Amino acid sequence: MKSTSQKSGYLRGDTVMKKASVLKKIKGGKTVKIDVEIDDGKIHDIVISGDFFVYPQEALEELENKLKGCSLNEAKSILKEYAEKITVLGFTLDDVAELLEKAFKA
Amino acid sequence: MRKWRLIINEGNVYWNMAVDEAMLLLKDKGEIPNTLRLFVFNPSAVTIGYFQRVSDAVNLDFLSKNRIPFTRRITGGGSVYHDVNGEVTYSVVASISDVATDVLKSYEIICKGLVYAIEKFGLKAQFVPINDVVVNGKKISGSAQSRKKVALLQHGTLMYNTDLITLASTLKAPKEKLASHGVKSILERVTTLSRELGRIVSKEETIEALIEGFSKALNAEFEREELTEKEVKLAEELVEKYKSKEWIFKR
Repeated sequence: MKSTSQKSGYLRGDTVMKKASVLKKIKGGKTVKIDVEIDDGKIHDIVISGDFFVYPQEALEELENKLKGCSLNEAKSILKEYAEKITVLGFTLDDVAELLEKAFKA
Repeated sequence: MRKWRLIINEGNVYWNMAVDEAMLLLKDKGEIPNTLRLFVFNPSAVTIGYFQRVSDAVNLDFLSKNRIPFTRRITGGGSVYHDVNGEVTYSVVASISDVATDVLKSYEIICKGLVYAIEKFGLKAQFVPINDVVVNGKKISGSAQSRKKVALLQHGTLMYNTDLITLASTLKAPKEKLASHGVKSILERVTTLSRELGRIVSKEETIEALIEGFSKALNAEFEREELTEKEVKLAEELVEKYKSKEWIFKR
């Protein structure tokens, strides 16, 4: 289970907007990647992508929207909550939490 | 045996994806019977999974240089190269209750149709959860499923003579992905019926085997029919979405 990350930053107003792209290879062959923009310790934008499955499908976009504006800890509790109510195949929402943690620390 | 409808046709990538979605929507409303559709992509094309980013899934330069059309599917999973001369795609559209409520179980039940089809050729095939079928350790088929309230659509491939060099140039697999499969390149982890058998397998043979395989897996008796007027009309509306930049580059 390797993961890689790329990061870049740019100035937005007087705070630094951090952009990170973090990827995790899941045992069994699927890949999950997050592209995230972190602004002042909060998620400004996030896209979770890969060759996995989510049921119901709309739930992933809904989750991404909920994560926007969240701190790392807030994001983690939302991911826990979603893990209870949606079916994901090929990765877990714990993987997303792990990737987010990496992105925040990057 | 339960009666199922069988549709065999072909079309371009936008039309093919529009027909699958139209069937799913109409099945969800109870307006069409359980259906197995077998088809090819003409011309050859690429589809990417609903949750993929285009730039991660395909080699855009290669696609545009070779004028290979592509679109995003409504189903998850990975990118697929559909070779007009080497791959047959199946779609199963059915009531969830007629297959299995459990998603993983339903993948297995439907993928059994592919396993049985491949066994018709005297090859040993294996279903590898979540959505792959392998022969001699190499992937020969991938599937993806989408669900509505009461209906499901599962579609997937069976490569009988796909040009694997083009496939490898078309799709992008992250290095990490290949590493987890324990092989160095796409060529080493995918195969076709022709390659495994050492002879050229035809599209007709493949279709025949798929009909028999799915009949066994789904306990279905197939009756060959055409799409209804309603399906064609809905597909004609949906086709615009599959052609649109907004949909294709959604992620």
